[in-house]
Amino acid sequence: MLVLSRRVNETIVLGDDIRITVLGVDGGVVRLGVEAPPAVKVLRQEVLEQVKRQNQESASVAGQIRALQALRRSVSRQEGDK
Amino acid sequence: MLITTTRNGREERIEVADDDVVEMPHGLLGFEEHNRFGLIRDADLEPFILLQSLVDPWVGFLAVDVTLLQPDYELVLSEAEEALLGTHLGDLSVLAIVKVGSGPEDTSVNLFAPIVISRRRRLGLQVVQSHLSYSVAEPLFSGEQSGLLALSGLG
Repeated sequence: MLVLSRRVNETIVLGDDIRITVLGVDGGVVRLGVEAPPAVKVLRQEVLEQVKRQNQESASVAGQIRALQALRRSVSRQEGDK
Repeated sequence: MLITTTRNGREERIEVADDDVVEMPHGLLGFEEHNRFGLIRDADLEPFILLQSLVDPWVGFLAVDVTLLQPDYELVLSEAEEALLGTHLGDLSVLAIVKVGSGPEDTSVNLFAPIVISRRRRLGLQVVQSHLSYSVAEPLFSGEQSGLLALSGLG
């Protein structure tokens, strides 16, 4: 990993068109400004972890279809009770 | 093409159209090695589609066409994604993964990271849509989406 030290208002440049500027440091929090073309995805890593977790919780073929059938049965039973 | 699925809780072979076999070169997040899927369309599942992994018959995802939920869903692709999927919007299907819970209220849909498929190239990617304010777990059957209840045989 490349390690760089930057002060507030200093910038690093990635490739031709991505700039990351340190806007401020407050306690343990660093505020970064990212300038990048719209087609470049800028994501917090934990967001990718969320997607991964959601995928994992949705990935059982048999489990999901069984749950869908159970859901349909329980809803049609409730309809029948009305 | 014959594929193996566990949709009925055991391994069985079923036929899907060649057009419904899709390469996913990057897999899905957390399922990077699952790079080939069969799309199972079945009257029993409507309006959902089953994305069946061809790597592991026990892995797959229920999904729903995003246009059924959000007709004006605004998809943004990076240059790398466009290079793989092409830029012809009419060729792209946008599917959101559904997570079925124990009741309608905890059944959700991932509008944040849909699966985008080029039908012509038979190629799919899970594409994070960070410009939108959707979450990975939007309630499927509330508010604007409540019309889907009837579509799903749940209304």
